[in-house]
Amino acid sequence: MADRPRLTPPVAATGTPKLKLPAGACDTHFHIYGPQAKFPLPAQRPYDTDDLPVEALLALHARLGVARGVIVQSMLHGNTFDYLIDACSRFPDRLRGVAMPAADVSDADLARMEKAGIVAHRVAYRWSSTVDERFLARLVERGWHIQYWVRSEAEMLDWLPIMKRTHGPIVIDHMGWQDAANGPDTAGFRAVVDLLASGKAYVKLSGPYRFSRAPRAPWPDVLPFVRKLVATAPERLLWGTDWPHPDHHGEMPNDADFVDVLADWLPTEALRQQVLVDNPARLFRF
Amino acid sequence: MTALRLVRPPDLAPRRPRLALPAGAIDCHCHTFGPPDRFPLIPDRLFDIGNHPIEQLVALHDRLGLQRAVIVQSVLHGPSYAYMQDANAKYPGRFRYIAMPTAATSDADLAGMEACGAVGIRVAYRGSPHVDERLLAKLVERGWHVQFWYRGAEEATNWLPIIRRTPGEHIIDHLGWPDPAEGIDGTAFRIALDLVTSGRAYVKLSGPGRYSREDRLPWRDVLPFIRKLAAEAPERLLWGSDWPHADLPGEMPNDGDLVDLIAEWLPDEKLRQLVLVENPARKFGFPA
Repeated sequence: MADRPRLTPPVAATGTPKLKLPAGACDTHFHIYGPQAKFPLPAQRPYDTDDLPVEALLALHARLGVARGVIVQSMLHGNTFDYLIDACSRFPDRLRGVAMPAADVSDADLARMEKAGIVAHRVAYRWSSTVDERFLARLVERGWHIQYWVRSEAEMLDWLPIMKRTHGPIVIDHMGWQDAANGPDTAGFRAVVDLLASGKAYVKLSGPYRFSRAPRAPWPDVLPFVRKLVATAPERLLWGTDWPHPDHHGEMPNDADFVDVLADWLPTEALRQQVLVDNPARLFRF
Repeated sequence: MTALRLVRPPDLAPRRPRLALPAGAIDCHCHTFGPPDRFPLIPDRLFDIGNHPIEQLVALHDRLGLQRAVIVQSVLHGPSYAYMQDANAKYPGRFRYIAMPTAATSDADLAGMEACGAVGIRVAYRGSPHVDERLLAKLVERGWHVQFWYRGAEEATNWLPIIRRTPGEHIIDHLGWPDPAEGIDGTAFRIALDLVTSGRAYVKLSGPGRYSREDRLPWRDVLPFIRKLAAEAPERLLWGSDWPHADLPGEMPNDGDLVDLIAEWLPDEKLRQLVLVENPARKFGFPA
């Protein structure tokens, strides 16, 4: 057996947040794992993990006041998708999925995913800096959108032309993941803001702890990034917990904090309605 | 009642072009008119035009090597789509349709338009600078796109916030109506180029005679715009004949020459395959 590191599990005793989310609030970014007895993780994976099946996620959402969610493919599941189909099709009113099928996936498998509520494909610079644009075009023609995950200015600028060429709307993960120490006035974050302003991109207000230098909530150095995005195009912002925070090596965040920080990030009810309910309902077809 | 001005007809003896178009080539911008006893034009119109029914367009396309086409509603038709029902019944699958429904159009009529190939709505600044954004949002939800027709820098600037706000990937008519005197750094062209390179819109290589400062083909002052677009975003270019060239200033082109001009605009065969086949097939939902 390969000697792999094991993911730190998320905080179990989150408590309930102080902020009450609007009815129909959607968490657009989190992952689930397993159950591995039924959906084994591929041998080529960076980590081992406890099972964190859809039921564990739904219990968290119930505590947070979240009504809907979008399961995002995790690296741990490789290119597999049966676990996503299983989870989404058991909760068709509550869940949608973002998958990462391999480019040689059959049309029949794509149709199975679509039937279950999988509406998007994720590409991750960390996995491969090369993007198969013909495959993306094939998915977009079927009605999928493309979600881009980058983690630095170099990655963002390298993929910017590909993002612009992509047909249809795109989604940028984790506010573009630009080192908060540099502030929002950098070429990398300006590229994120420009894509949002042009109407091309949706941006996820998620993963603050991943690019903040602050060890814990409320991640004050992230606030200028959020303010800039909210001032630019609130009609294309989304929000997500990023539960269970895989590959995070600092202090594990309490998921209730991702809700409570919204009182600062989205200070009016109208903004919260837009970002938490209306925008995801439109993009993910709830 | 004063007689309406009758615009010049197209050249009804089109030359057979020297350039062989790729199989499945699509003309993304053309109109048909009449016959007037079956498909009358709206009484309140700017000018009159002769009888150019679907059969005439098909004969032209057969001669030019164009196998499919997108028929764009003219303001002269008002909201009526009966002529497209007729065209679609006669030539099933050959056409897509850019319609001009209004907020008053019923869902049944929208479905009727879709049944004869409608995939988009055209909004024309010339018709009204006011855009019904609720209608556009409703149509985008149905899967339509929006084709924006504006003329020059001022209209482009006025509409840019609306174009950016409207979800979906749009189409900019007639190259964004650039001013050749300003060159590729002119405002109207910059707006179109930014929309295209940012992935928000396709642009039609069409209507050069309408904004060129030259009065006849090959309208050389338009070439820098084409070259710039082909270099920056070949995946979002479309081509259209604009037949029957209603109310065109300058000399009426022969449509065979218009096709041969494509060889100068898009000198590379792969580029022609993209612009004439792959891009429009994707955008308008034709089989590739």
